[in-house]
Amino acid sequence: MGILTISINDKIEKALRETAYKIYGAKKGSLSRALEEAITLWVNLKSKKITQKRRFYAKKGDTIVAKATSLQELAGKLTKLNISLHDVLIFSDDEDIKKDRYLGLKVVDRELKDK
Amino acid sequence: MSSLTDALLVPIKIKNPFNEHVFPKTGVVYGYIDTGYTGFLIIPQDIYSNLKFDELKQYHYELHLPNGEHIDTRGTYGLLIFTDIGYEEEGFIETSNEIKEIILGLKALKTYEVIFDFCEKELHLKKCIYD
Repeated sequence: MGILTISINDKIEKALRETAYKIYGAKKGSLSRALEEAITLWVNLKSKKITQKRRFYAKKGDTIVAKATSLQELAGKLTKLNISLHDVLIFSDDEDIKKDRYLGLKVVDRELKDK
Repeated sequence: MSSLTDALLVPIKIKNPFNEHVFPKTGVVYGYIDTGYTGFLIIPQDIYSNLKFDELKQYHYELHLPNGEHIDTRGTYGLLIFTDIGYEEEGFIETSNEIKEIILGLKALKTYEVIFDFCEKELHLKKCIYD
């Protein structure tokens, strides 16, 4: 576990302590847990902005009519363009939804065990 | 953190970002974690219709079951909200006649640390630092 020594604004510290104790209880480790969560959120937010990879597309026929980095953004663009949802197919460029489609536990070596 | 009882249940909400419909409207619904499901989220048809996912053009696929059979599914993209920790995930949400429960698959959890603590009867979900 890493140890950080930091200085923060009194008001933020007060709010942090109050919220951490409210959520995790006034016990040892509450503050560290809250800070770890806060830092994780910040790192995720910042790193996503830098390395945003996922894109969503709306395709009408063979034409891509809108693209966005989130579904919410794509929805907004389609509304602005006044395109009916019935006409568009939504897809994402970072996954193959057709590949390896299984539901339920798999016993991959059942035949070997049976023998 | 969720309480861990007889099943691996996570409190969630499901949202159609194209019409802002959310299920359930108030409170939460519980999704089963199924580590054998390779998809993102599969839900019963009534919930799928309630969210009006049918309004979008549908993908039609098959899901293979352990007994060698398959079920037909249809789906599109939507949002899954982990209410306990306040994160939203975008992914392929599907439905089928055969599905009676809300099932979370591996793709829904691929950017989370998931701890099943049966000793304390708690289920912990934590977002990965880098996803």
